[in-house]
Amino acid sequence: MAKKHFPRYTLLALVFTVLYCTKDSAPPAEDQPYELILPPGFPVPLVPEDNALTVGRVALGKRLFYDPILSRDSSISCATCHKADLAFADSLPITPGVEGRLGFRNAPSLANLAWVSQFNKDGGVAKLDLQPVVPIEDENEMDLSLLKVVDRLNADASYRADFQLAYGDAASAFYLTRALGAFMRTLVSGGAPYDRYKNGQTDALDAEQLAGLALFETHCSNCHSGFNLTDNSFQNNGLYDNYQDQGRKRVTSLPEDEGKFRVPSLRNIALTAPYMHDGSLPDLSAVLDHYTSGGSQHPNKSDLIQPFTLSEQERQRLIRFLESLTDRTFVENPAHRME
Amino acid sequence: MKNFKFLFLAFLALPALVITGCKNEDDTPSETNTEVSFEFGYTVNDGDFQVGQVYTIGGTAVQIDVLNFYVGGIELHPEEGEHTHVEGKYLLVKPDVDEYEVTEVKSGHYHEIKFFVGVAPEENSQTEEDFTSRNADDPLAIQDPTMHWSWNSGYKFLRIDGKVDTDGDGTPETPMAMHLGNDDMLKNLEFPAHHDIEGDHTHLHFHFNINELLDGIDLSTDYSTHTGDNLPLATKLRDNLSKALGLE
Repeated sequence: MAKKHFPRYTLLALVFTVLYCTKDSAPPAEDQPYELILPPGFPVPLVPEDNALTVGRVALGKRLFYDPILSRDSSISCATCHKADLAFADSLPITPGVEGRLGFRNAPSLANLAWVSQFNKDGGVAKLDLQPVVPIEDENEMDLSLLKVVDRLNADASYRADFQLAYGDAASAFYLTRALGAFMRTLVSGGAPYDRYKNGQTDALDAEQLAGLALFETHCSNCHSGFNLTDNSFQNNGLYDNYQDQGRKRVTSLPEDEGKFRVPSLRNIALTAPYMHDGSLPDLSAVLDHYTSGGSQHPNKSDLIQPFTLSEQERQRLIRFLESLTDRTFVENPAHRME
Repeated sequence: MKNFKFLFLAFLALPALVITGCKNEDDTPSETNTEVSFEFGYTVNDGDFQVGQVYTIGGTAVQIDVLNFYVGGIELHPEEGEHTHVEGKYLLVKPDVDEYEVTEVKSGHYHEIKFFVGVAPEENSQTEEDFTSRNADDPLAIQDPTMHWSWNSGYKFLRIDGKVDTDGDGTPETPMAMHLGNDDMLKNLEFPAHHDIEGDHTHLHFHFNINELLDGIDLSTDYSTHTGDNLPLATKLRDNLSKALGLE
């Protein structure tokens, strides 16, 4: 059977005539617009006016993403915790930072962040272009001030040239964070068997996976909905009775936000174990155990988390469906990797 | 020739007209302006505060290495007429800075000064301008030590870092970090004044009493807050600001 080719929706993500609001970062004349390829059914993401996507900016962001120059002792890069093979997540519950220091949250996948509006598991960061500040400055991750990173970058002639090409200026905290944001906006995942099925390729999912999809729609899709399989809400899923990590309450100080975390996308979920905000559930089977149990009795627990029963066969079908969310074209995309 | 004479006379008459005009203006009482600056004198245990020195506060040995805070929303209220609101002006108050230029106001008697400690929600949200996009001379730009949150959008309104003695041997050894942020930590303050703001420049001197700031806090056990993770301590510090700061 001939493989169906889906239309490619493209976004020329650079408009030279827009007004740049907060910082004049019109790309230098020699830089080129970056063509962001969108999967069918994906809305056009909002790209900040002060960080239009260009080839130079995305390339610079990728170089920075893979460079341990961002960490205090030059031992780790963004890619240490966000591995391309794992859909830009990690296989450890908590990935060590510099000197082996441990934070307290599991590294999330970076797929499709262009469609997220509140970042980190507690939604504490208001825009993608500021999110890189978190790992760079966190003492348990890279532990380096932005100003020191900028000094390092401007001491390197090849980085000076890259920043000049991308932003027409020397490295600064603004351009550093924007370049990383530009690269992350290109990490688009929408080519899984599930996507092909949704777009008309009826044999993209087998019978077991289709049965799993039905179970998913019954038990999971209230929160894991939409093209990115998340409603982006903050929910307490009853993982604990007492939360060491306060979740969204850490940001809002509101008691009703204790233990609430942003509902993650389930794209590539089979690659991103372990699960939950702290990586405490080792595999998908453990996740199903948690949800079928109905979770804890925490007062903030979502009403949607209620005990239910799955037979062994149903568990297997649901897991097979979740595996159909793995997008090999995303994971193996050479544009996302540093050769 | 006739025209030339006329022009010559007009040329002579012009300065006289100007001088006359100036004299008339001088006869009318005019408003003058005065530059205002703030000074913040840090005190501890009835003396001047020194960064890095060990003090005993509330029975606990403490070494404070950083004690910075933002001041914004400055208003100067004269006895008569409209008050001056210093729009968009922020001061980053540090122990080692003697003076902060604030604004120019009409000379006169002022009876109240207002400001808040913190950063207003519109700047704190980081949704438009953020700390990376501001010019280096802007107090809201990146600072060293940092005054922006990383894990949370916004600024540390008040940052205290140092060490405290938790084992009772008189030597501070445990890291202390008290960082206030989030919109609800903004503290509005009003200072009654009886000050003549006049001449070219007037300094308004505020005291910042660290004992009052840390009043009611057992530093041997309660020495860490990033606001949300220890809200009672953050709230206590915020509320103590009203008695720690005063206009002299």
